[in-house]
Amino acid sequence: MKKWNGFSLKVILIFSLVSPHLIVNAQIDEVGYLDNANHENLLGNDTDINDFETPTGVVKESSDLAPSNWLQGFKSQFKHDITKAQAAGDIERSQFGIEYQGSVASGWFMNFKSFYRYYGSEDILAKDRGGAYGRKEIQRLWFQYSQNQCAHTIGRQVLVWGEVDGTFSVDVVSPLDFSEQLFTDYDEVRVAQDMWVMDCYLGNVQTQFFVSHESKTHVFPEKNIYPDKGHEEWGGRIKLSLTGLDLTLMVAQLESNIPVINDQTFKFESNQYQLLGASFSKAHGRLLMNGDMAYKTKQVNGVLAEPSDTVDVALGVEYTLVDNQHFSAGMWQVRSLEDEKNHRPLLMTVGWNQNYLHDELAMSLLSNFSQQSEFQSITVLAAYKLTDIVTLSSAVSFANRNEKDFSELQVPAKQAWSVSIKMEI
Amino acid sequence: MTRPFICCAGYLLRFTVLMGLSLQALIAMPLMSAEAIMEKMDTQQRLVSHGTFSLSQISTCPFSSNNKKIVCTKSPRVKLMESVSKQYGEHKKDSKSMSILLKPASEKGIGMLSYSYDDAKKDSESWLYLSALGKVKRIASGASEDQEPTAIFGSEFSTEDMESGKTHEYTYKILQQGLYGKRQVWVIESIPIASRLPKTHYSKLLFWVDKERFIPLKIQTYDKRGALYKRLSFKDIVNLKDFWIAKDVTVLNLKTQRLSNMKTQNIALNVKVLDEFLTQRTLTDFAFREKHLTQLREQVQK
Repeated sequence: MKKWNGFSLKVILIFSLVSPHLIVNAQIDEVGYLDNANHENLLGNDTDINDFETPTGVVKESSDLAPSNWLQGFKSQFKHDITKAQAAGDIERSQFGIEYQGSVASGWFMNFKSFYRYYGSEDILAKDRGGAYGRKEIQRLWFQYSQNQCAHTIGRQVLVWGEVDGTFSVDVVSPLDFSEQLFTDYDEVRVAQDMWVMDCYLGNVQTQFFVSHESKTHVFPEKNIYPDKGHEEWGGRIKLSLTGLDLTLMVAQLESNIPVINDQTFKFESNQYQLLGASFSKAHGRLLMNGDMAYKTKQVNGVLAEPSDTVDVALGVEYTLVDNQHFSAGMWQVRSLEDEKNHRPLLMTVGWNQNYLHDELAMSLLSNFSQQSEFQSITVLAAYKLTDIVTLSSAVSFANRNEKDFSELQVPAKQAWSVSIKMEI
Repeated sequence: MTRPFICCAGYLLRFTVLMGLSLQALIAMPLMSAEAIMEKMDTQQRLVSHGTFSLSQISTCPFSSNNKKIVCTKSPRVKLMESVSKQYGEHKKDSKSMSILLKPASEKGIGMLSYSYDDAKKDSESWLYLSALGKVKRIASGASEDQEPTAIFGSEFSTEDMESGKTHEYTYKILQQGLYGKRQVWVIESIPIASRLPKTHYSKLLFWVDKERFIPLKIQTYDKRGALYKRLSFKDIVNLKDFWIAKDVTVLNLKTQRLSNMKTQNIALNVKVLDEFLTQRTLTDFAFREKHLTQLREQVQK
C-alpha cells in the first residue's frame, strides 16, 4: 500500500519535471489502488453496475412529446369548485375547458381558451337566475405576429401591468371577475378584452402600445350594475431592464373598472380617466423591492363623491429564504388631490408561501388589513398535486369587512371555505 | 401563488449536457493529476453549454429495490422542458439560459430566463413568466456565494450536483483505477474545503471517471455524517461534435428512497443562439420564441 505524503509528493514533483508520465503511475500498485487507504474495491463488478439500471416505466420513450408535434399545443381541463360562504353567495360549478397555444406558421402564434360551465342550483349566479344553467365562453382568442423587433398581438387577451402583486395602482387595464372563485385559480379571475397590443424590443428596452375599442368593467355577482357600453381605451409603456433593476413608465387613457352611478340619470356608467404611472423592481440579494405609482384623473370613490385627481402608491418587498420559503409584504394608498371623500384607506398585505413534499403540496397564506375601515382578512390555501394530472385545492378565509366599502383586496365573505378539484391533460 | 421553479432553470443545461470532453484531451490522459482531471471536466462542462439547445425529461418516483432491481412504487412525476443556454465573458464563465416547461399540463408555458455570473458576489438575475398571471416577474435569488443547494423541480437532483467552476473549493485524490464494467476509470475522491462546507450537503464525493472519454460513469455522494447519500449513474453516452454527452442520468437518493431520471431526448451543441433570444422578449413574444426554437430544433444532432 502506498499513500500520498509529504515525501512522496516531493519525489513526484521532482519526477514530474523529468518525466510527467510518472505522476500517476508511480503511485499505482499491481491492483490499481492509489491513495485508497482501506483498499476498498471501488470498481465493483457487473452487479454493482446493473443496480443502476433505469427502472422500467420511468422514462417514456416519447417522440410524441416533441414540441414539433402540433397536438402538443392542446390542453384540456375539467374542474369542480365549491365555496361555502357566510353572508355571501355560495359557489357550485363544474367546468370543462379546452386550450390551444402554438405556432400556426413561422412568426405566427395562436392562443385559444374556451370553456363550458355548469352552475349548480346552489350557486349564487344560478339562484339569481332562477335555477341551474350552463353557458359557454371564449376566454381568450388571440393571434401574435412577430417580425424584426416588434410583435403584434390581436384578439381577446389579458394585459397585466405593475410590479406589486395584489395591488391595483397601475394594474388597471384588464378588470377582475369577482363572480369567480377567487381563492384557488388565478387564471380565471382576469377579464379578457378585445385589443391590439404592439410590443417592440430594442436591447434592454421594451416599448408597448395597446388600444381596445371597448372597455370592460370588473364582473360582480350582482346583475344590472354595468354600463350599457364601454369606450375606447389606449395606452403605452416603456420598460428599461438594467442589472438588478427594472424600470417602467406608462401612460394611458382608460375607463374605470368600477361602474359609477350618474347622479343625474341614476344609471351605471364607466368613468373615463387618464393615467400616468411608473413601476420599479429592484433585486438585492434575496430581497426584491418593488413599487407602483400612478397619477389618475377624475377618480370617483363612492356614490356621492365628486370626481377628483388621485395619487396611488403601492410598495412591496419580497424575501426568499434559502429553502425557497417566500415572504411578501405590501401597502397600497390612494390619496385624492381635491376631495377627501375620494381618499381610500391604507391597505396592507402580508403573504407567505412554501412548497412541501417535494413540491407536491403548496401552502400559502395571505392577509389583508386596513385600519381606517376596520377591514381584516386572512386566507390559507393548500394545493396538493395528487398526480401530474389531478390537483386538489382548498382554502379557508376569515374576514372582518365593511359591507359598504369596496376594495379589490377584500374577500367576498366573512367566512368562506372552498374546495376545488382540477384535472389537466 | 406558487413559483414552481424559481431555483432551478439556470442549472438545467448542466444536466442535459452533463460533463462532456473533447477527444483531444485523451492525449494528455496519463499525465493528469486528480485536480487536473476534475478541472478538465469542469472546463468542458462550461464549453458544452455554449450555444446549446435541449429537450429533457425529468421523471421522479419513490423506489424500492428487489433482487438488485430498482422499481418505482408510485407512478413517476414527469416534467418535460426545452432549454437554451449560452456562455459569456472572457473565459465563458458567465451564462444565460432560457427554460420553458412543456409538461405537466398544469405548468405548461411557464418560462424562466436566468443570468448567472462567475463572480460569486454578483447576484444572479432571473425572470419568470407565469402564464396564469400573464406577466413577467423578476426573481431575487441572490449571489451564488449565498446559495444553499436546493432541489430542481422537486426532483432528487440538486443545484449543487450541477454546479461548475467550483473545483477550487474541493481537494481531490485518485483512490483507485482499473476496469469498471467495460471501461477503464479513475475513482477520484472529492472533499469540500472549509469555506465550501456551509454551501454543500455533502462531506465527500466519489467520481468514477472514464479514462478515455473523461466523463463520469458514476458518482456517489456522502452526507455530513459520512453516510452514503446519493448515487448517480450516467448512461447512453454519445459523442456529439467531439463532446461526450450522457443522455441518461439517474440519481438514487438513499435517504428519501426516491429516484429521479433525466433523459435528454434531443440536443444540439455549438449552435448559434441569438443574444436577443436570451432576453425578456422570449418570455412574452411567443411567435419570436417559437420561430427561433424551430430553427434550433432543426439542428438537433441524432
